Amino acid sequence: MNNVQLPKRHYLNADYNVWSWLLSTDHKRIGILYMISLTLFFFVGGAAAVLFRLELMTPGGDLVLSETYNKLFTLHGVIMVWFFLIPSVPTVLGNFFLPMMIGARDLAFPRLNLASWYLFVGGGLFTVWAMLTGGVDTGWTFYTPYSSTYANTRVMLTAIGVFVSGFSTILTGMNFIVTIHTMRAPGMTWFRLPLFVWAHYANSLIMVLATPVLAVTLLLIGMERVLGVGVFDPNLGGDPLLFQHLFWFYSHPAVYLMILPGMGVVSEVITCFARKGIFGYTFIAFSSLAIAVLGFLVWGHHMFVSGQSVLASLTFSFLSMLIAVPSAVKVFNWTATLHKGSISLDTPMLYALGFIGLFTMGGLTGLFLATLAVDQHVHDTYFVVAHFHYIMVGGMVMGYLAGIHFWWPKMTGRLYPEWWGRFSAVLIFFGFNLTFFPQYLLGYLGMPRRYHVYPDEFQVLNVMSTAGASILGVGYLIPLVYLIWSLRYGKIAGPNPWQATGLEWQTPSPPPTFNFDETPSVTERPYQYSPWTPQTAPPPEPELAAAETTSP
Amino acid sequence: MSEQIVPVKTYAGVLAALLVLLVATVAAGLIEGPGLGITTALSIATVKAVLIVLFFMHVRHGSPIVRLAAVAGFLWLALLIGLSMTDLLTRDGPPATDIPAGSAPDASLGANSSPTGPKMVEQLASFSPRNEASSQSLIATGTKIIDAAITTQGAADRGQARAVR
Amino acid sequence: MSSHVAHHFDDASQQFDAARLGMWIFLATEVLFFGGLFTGYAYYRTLYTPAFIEGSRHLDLVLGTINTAVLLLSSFTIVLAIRGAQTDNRRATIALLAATIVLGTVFLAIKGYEYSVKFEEHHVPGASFSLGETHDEAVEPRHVEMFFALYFGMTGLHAVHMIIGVGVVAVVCVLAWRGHYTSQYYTPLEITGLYWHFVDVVWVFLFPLLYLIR
Repeated sequence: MNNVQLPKRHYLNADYNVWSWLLSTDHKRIGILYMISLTLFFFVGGAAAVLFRLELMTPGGDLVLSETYNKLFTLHGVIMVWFFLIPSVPTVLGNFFLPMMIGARDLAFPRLNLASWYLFVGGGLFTVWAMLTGGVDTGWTFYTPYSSTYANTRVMLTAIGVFVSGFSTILTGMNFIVTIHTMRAPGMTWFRLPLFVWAHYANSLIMVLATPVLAVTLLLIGMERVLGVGVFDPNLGGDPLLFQHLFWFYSHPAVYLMILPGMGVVSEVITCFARKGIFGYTFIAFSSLAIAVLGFLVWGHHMFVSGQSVLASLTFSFLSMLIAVPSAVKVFNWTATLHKGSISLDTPMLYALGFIGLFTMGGLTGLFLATLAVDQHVHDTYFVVAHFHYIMVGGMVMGYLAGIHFWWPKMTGRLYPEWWGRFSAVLIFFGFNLTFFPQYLLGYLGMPRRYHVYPDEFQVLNVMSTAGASILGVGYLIPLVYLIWSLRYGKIAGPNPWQATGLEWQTPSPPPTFNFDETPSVTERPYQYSPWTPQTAPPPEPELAAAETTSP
Repeated sequence: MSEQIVPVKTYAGVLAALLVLLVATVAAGLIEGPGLGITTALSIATVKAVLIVLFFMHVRHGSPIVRLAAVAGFLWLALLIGLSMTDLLTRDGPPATDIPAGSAPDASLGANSSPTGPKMVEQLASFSPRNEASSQSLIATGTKIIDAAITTQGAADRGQARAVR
Repeated sequence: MSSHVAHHFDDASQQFDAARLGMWIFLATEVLFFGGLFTGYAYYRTLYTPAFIEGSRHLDLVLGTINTAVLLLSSFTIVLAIRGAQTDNRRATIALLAATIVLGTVFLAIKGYEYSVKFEEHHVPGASFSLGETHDEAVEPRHVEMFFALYFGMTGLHAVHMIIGVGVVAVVCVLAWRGHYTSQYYTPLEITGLYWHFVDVVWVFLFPLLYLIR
C-alpha cells in the first residue's frame, strides 16, 4: 500500500443511519441510491434476456409458451429502456459529477432530486411487480389497438409505472438545466464546461421536451382501455397511426437519451487516457445540441411501412440521414483526439474505445434503416434488433461502465482491480459482438423479431447469439463482484489517480459533503493534458478570473 | 430581488385588452363561417396568450434564457403537430380510420399471439393501397410471419409446414 | 432574510433565478403534455371537420364565455397579489389570493355544471353515448363522439390542473397570512403565479377550439 490516506470526513461517513441515506438531499448520496436501484433493475431485465435467449437456441418452442415469450421480451424492453438505459448515466454519474464539474455545492433543487429518486424507484418497483406477477405482452412500444383493446395482460399497471417514472425523468432534466444555468462556479464559462456537462445539457432538453408526450399518450391509452373512450381504435373512429406519431415523438428522441450521456463520458475518458486536449471542443459541444434538436425531427422513420404518407416518409428519411452528421462529427473528433496521443489502455479507456467502435457500427446500420427501400426489407427483423443494441448496449452500457470505472476512485476513494477490469472489458466486448453480430445476418436473411419459433436454417446463428449472451452475462457479473470487493480491499486512490484536469478531481476522494472546502475558481479550459493544467490552476494573468463571471 | 415592480395601471390595461379580445373572438365566431372562423379564433387566442405571457408572467422583463424556455415549449409543440399533419394531409387513398364499426381486425392481430393468416396479410396490404411495391413486400413479410406462426401453433405437423415453404 | 437561502445557493437572487427558470422549464413540459391532446385535436378535426362543428354546437357558448372571463380575471388578481408582496402590502396579497381561489372555484363549479348537463344528454363518450338531435343530418355520430372524447380529455386535464392550482394558491395564501412573504422574498408566490397564468393560457386556446368552431 502507498501512504495515501482516505480523508477523515467525507460524504460517505458523514452519517451512518439508514435515514441519512433515504432522506438525503446530497446529490452524491442520491447518485449512489440510483446506482444501487439501477443495478437491481439491470439484472431483472437481464434475467428475462437470458430466458428468451435460451428459448431461441432451438427452432421450436421448447422452453416457454408464445405468451410467456411475449411477456419476457416486453419485460426486457420495458425494464432496460425506462429503468436502466435512460436513467443510467444521467442519474448516477450526472447526479454525482455534474455539480462537481461546474464547481457547485449541489444541484439547484436537492429535495426535488430526492423526490425524483422516489418516483423512479416507486414507478420501477410497481412496474416490475406488475410485469412479474401478471406480465405484459405488447412489447415495450404498447402499439394500439392491441394494447388498448385486445391485450388481456397488465397493460395499464405497467403504463402507470412508466408514467410515474417519467416524472422522475422530467424533474431530473429540469434540475440539470437549471443547475447548469445558475450554479456555475466563478470563471466557469460556457466554453470551459467539460463536454460531459454539454452532453447532459442536451440530454436534459430531450428529457424535458419529449417525456411529457409519452405521459399524455399513456393517459390516452388508459382512457381508451379503461373508459372505452376511443382515440386510437379504428372501431371507434380513431387512427392507430396517431398513437405511433405521439409515441415516437417521445421514443425516438428517447433513443438519444440512451446515447448522449454516454458520449459525454467518452469525451472525458478519451482525453484523459490519451493525455491530449480534445480535438474540436466547440464542434463536439454543439453536435450534442444538434443531436438533441434533430432527434425530434426523425421519428417517422419508425413508420415507413405503417401506412404513413409517402411524402412524410421521404421527409423523415431525409431528416434521419441528416442526424448522422453530428454523430459522425463526434466520432471523427474523438478519433482525431486519439491521433498521436499517449494512449494507455486502462479499463475506462477500453470501454470508451469499445463505445466508439460499436456506436459507429450501430450508427452506420441506422443509415441503412433510414433508407426507405432497405427498410422495406429489414423492417421488424433482427437487423433492427441488432442495430439498436449496438447503439444502446454497445454504446450506452459501454459508456456507463467506462464512467463507473473512471469515477469509481472518486466515488468510493478506492481503486478497482485493474487486471480484472481490463479482463471483463475485453470479455464484454467479445461477448457483445458474438451476441449481436449474428443478429444482423439473421435480420438480413429475413428472420422477424418477436417470434420464438423460427425455420431450422436460422439455428446456427441463433446458437452463436445465445453463446455470446452467456459470455456477456458473465462479463457483467465480474465488475459487480470486484467493484463490491474493492469497497473494502481496493487500493486507496488519492484525490486524482488519473491526473485528470476537471474540477471533480481537485477535491479529496471521496469528496466532502459540500464537494469543495471552498468554492473553486476556474481559470482554464478543460482537457489541458500536455502540459498538464487543471481547470483551477493559478491564472497567468490574475485579472482573467475576475473578468469572467457566471451569468445565467 | 431584482424583480421590477409593474404599475397596477399596466396590469389593468392588459386585463381590459384581454376582455375586449374575448368579446371580439366570440363575436367573430358567431358571425363568420367555420373555415375562416378557426383562423381568426386562433389568431386572437395567440394574441391573448402573448399578452398574458409577456405582462402577467413577466417575460417582458425576464432574462434571455427565460424567454427561450417560454418559446421552446410552443416551438416543440409546433414540430409535433406540424410533422404529424405532414403525414395526415398527404396520405392518398382512404384514411385508415374509415373502417366501418365492427369490421376491425380481430383480437389476434397483436404482437405475435397467433395471427390469423391470410386475413392479416390482406389488412397489412390494404393499409398502403397506393404503393404496389410496398404491398408486395408486406405480403412477403406477412407470409414469413404466417410460416413462423404455423410452426408456433401447429407443432402438430411441423414437417408439413416446412415442406410448404 | 438569509434564512430563506438554501445552503447551496450563494444569494437570494441566484435562488430566485433558479426557481423561476425551473418553473418555466416545467411549464414547457406542460405545453407538450397538453400538446399530445392538441395534436389529437388537430388530427381528428382535419379528418372529421363537419362532426367537430356539430359537436361544438352542443356546447354552451354563454357558460364558456363566462368561464373565460372568470379565468382572465383570476390571472389579474393573482398578478396583483404578487405585486402586493413586492410592495410589502400583506393585506392586499392575502385578499387577492383569496379572490383568486374564489374565482378558480367558480370556474370549476361552472365546468362541473356543464359536465353534468352533458351526462344527462348522453354526450359522454362510451357505451351510452347518443347524439340526439343534430344540426347537420349528414354527420356520423361516431365522429362527434370523438369530438366529445377530446372535449372531456382536454377540459378534464385542464380541470385537474385548476384543482391543483387552487390547492397551491390556498397554501401560499395561508403562508402569506402567516407573514412568510416580503418584498425581499416572494419566490413561491411568483412561481405559483406562473403556474396559474399557464393554466389560463391553456384555456385561452381550448375555448375557441372547443366552443367557437361552429
